[in-house]
Amino acid sequence: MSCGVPGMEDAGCLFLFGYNPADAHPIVARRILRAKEKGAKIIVADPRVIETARIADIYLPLKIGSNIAFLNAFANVIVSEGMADKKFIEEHTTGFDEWWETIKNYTPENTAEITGIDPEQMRAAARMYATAEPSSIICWGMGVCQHHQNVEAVHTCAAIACISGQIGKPNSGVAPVRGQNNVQGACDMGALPNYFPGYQSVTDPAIKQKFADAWGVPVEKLSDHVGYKVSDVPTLIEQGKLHAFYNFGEDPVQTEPDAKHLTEQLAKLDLFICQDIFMTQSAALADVVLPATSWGEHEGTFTACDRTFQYFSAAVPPKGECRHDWEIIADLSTRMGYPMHYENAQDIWDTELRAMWPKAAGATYERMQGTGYAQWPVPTEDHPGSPDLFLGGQFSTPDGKARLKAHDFDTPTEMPDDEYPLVLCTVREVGHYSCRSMTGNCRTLSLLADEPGEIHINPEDAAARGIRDGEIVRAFSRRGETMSRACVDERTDKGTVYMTYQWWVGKCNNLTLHVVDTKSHTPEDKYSACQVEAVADQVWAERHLQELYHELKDRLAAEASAQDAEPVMA
Amino acid sequence: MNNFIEIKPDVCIGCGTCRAACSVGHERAGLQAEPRLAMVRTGSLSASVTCHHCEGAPCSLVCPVGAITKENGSVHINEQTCVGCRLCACVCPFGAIHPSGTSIAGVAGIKFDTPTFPKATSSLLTWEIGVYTRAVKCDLCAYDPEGGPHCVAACPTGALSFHDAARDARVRTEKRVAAAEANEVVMRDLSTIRRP
Repeated sequence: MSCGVPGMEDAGCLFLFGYNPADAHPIVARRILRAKEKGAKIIVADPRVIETARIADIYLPLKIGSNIAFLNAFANVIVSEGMADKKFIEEHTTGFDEWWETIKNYTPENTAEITGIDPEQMRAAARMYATAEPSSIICWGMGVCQHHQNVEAVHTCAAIACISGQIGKPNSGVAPVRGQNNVQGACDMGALPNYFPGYQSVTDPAIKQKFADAWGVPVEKLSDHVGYKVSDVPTLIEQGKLHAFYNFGEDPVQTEPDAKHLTEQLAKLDLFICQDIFMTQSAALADVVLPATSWGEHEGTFTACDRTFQYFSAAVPPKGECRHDWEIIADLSTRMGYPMHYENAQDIWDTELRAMWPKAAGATYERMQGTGYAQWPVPTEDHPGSPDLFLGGQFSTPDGKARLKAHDFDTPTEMPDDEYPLVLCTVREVGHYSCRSMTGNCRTLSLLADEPGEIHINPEDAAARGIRDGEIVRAFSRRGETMSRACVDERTDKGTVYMTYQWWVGKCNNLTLHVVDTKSHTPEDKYSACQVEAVADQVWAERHLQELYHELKDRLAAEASAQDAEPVMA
Repeated sequence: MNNFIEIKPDVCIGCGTCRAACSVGHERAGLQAEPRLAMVRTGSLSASVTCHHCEGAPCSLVCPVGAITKENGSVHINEQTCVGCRLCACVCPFGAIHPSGTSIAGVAGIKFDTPTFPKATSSLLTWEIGVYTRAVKCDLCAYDPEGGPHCVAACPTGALSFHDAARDARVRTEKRVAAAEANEVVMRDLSTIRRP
């Protein structure tokens, strides 16, 4: 994010595009409410009437899968109605003319059929965004990233911020609000196939040399090419390129698309290691399970979506054979021939991050004690931290200027047809987290929402299928099928159904399409063709789901029961 | 005057934290874990709805066993006295009362629930083998006079507030005093007759 989360309260306009804060980040949703109370204008563009749409000054119910057409037309209005910040474009960007060659072809009028948006409403929203004082922020979430033109949409959002001069000043710019509490931290620490810690490229010889020196290894021992991405694991296994998979802190059988295909491919691996805190469906398939500690059993840092480092301490000591993730990794590394030794989490933080990444050098553990925090870039210990990036229009490119990039609209991969007339879009719900291995164990949260989860469907689509609110339905696609509970919901757009991805029995990833974009390799989780039908015998369906859920839990418990045996000492 | 929970639908983000806090509090007190607030979502509003603690509470009038009583400006159901007849739930003008029971799943060799009805059926019409139901509704966390009502404290956006009749009466008195004092400013001439 180019701004801080608290700073969102002080923007003049918040434009939420494909981002549902009330379900994904209730704490950010609270900031947005405060912003509105302080007088900010709110624009929401989302196919569903999300919670924030209720308080929006302008709500634009765009058709799902039309992002690029929408954003291009939005950008077009800003330029063609004379709201572009010519000085900013001139001084701080490159490529405007080429960018305009594409954008000029998209108007609210000629894209109205694709986007479903009234051109006047779109124009009003663009005016509100571009002219807001003192600043505007574009916020987006998975509604941008999990479409096949995801990188393209990010380019266009950034270009919109640049050409309207709504970036490069406090509380402005782009806010890709990262999903999980520490996904920003995982990226900061280099848990990416193309970066060392601190976004330092693995293909840059100077950077490689720097890390080789710090780690005391010959430079040729460090990989010189970008690695694979987790979303490509099943494809790589199928192609015979991947034989061993060391998976930790993730339950891909639950969270990755096309679960059936993935499960088949995982079975072909020579070695599958899972490191987790629970016996998940993925861990049950593993050859080796390494028990890790949970957040309450270790210390460390979380990095929030706005680059804020925060320290958290252990509450209780680890139980049984559980060990800290870093201890397991260090031990494995040592046994594989590279002796790796750290004293504690702080040692890793100081030597691997602060010493190696100048932007984080000032983020000491002392500073993060209690409720303390540090927001990068924070180059020195007395630096106050940086809520805002790119101040004065100084971007992180070699010439300090933003590159404007435009793209033509393309339709989603799997369009609905007669056989599969509905679009399945996977979303989040506030009460359960990710693969549900953690929150599913919480009795209160299970009482509020439990298997098989819900499938949200428009009243007209439900009526056409004889589906009533609360009934169990069958949903199926070219990949597979599942059962879920219908939530007949007037906030849901016609022709689309929404499921959250944490339900084990009502698993939406049995249905989802596994297609990734060429640049970021992110799955197109927001758009798969499917069909939904009523189930005649509801009592049978209710019982059947109970049986399936308990069979699954019994199977996982049986897998985990190996740990009940007394360890055999060598 | 009665005590009740006030709800601001515009501020509600539909997160259900109030329901979680309600459930945890009651369960710890040995009462039914069922949340006593219902989350209502329509096309244009989100709000949790709960008991209004009516002055002339219809629920208490129809209860055949006297399980519903009014104490200190709020209406309470004694879960131990309740016979689960559901009359109160039928007459409640706000849909704020519903039956709840403890499932027998997990005891007596019964591993998991065996539903005998579709879950889409209204809870007023359903029954479960071996489960004794009783009426539950908001009790303003009477089991925890210091810490309650828990939903109000848990709401992340401040959409819920507790209307305390005694405090309201105090506030009203303070407002009247303030208004009387303000009058004195308006009618300055009259104040000349006052004892100095």
